[in-house]
Amino acid sequence: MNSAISGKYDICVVGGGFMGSAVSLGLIKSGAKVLMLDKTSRIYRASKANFGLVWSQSKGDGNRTYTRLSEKAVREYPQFIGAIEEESGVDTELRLGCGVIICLGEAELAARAEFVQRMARQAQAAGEAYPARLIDRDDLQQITGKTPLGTAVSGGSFSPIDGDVNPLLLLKAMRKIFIDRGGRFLHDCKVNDINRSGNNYLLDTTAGRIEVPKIIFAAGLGNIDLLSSLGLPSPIISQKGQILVTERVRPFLSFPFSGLRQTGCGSILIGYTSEPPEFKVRTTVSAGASMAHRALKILPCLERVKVVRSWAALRVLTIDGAPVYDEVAENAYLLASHSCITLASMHEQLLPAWILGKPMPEAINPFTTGRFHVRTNQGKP
Amino acid sequence: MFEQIKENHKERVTIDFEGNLLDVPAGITVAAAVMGYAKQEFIRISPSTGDKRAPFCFMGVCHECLMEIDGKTNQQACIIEVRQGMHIKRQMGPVEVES
Repeated sequence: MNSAISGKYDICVVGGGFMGSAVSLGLIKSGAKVLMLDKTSRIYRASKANFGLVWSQSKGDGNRTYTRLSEKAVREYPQFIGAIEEESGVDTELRLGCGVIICLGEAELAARAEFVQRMARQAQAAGEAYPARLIDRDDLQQITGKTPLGTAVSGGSFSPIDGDVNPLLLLKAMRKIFIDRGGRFLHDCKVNDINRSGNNYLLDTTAGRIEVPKIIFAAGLGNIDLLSSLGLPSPIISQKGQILVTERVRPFLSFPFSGLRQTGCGSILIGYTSEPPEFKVRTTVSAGASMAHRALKILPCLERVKVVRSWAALRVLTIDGAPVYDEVAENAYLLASHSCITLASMHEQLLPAWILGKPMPEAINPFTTGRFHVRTNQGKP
Repeated sequence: MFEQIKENHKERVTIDFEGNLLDVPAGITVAAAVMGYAKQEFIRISPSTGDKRAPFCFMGVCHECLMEIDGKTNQQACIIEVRQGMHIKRQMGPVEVES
């Protein structure tokens, strides 16, 4: 038993990425004693390898509750980040107020128009409004500024609330506040097995055995093995994504496109792919070439900019693409989403009170695992 | 600053460093020429931090030596040999996408 750790914490959060860090931050602010573990995976790294979009316009087609949660998350981002930046002293490079999904050619624009109409109808049916709208090539050129768009650019959809953030700096800032407020963060700590011990959970970890009354699974794809050690099913699946990164150039893009954005230090991120998962996560020349080809069609001036690196990682998805928040066993909570950057504001704000014993907030209670259960003719799982 | 210990190079080339013509041994790298002959204490200003930077690893890894060579930006000065008539400039901050 690791006596320096065991018995001293109310809650153990397994996973120190975007999900774990946001919920741990909220828990520590609520006064809980929190231990956060991170195994520092070299393979998955969704929290570090992601594109950094704070994005609602494409989320939740056919799932209004998910769209609503995403929009609320983005709208509350300024306040969420404001508090984090003030307390941590870290500038997270947040930019909100303009996010564009770009279309090449008429077929893409027609499909995008259909999507925007569908989202608007779904919002209207709920008595709400969908904030994004279709824009044509001329409008797009106007907001892009003097950098010429490629001739194939036909238009796109524009959201006045979406934007981007530097996920590495935001993750660092959340962890810093967590530690400054007395949270304990153990990195390079892997949980090998979990068992019940009376009313507690007994974790067998690389840092010794840890006994704790409440446990949170926020380990992304690592949740699959963690759940299985308690004999629980997992609704989590994965998907591979690749990104290209260029050399730094003088900032010229003041807002993000969905697959092309310039970071605060001047690098351009070009992405991203959605591919079947693989055990050994590799970058491929063919994916790099197709991403570069598309980026050049969007902004021909990138022809002169050199790619300096590329990377691949695995996304954390669920069977229906929406997040999962659930008490999967007594005092054991599963939290998983592929949209942990965008939803970070909600995760910090909505999850802690529920985990500490309050009823589940309405905004998140449709996201339990019950939705994945096969229904019998009694309508019960 | 760097000193040439032994001037035993027979072959020499002339390079243009920001308008100044320098006579340097053939076969050395641009980074060596700039540090040893142009006597510069920095060879670029970082586009992200604004700091003055100089070559560090001299083996093509760290990318601290990026310079404009013959009109091409972000060239690795430590792995490119000097050539007769070469034009070399320091990069004072981020390069422009549209030059």
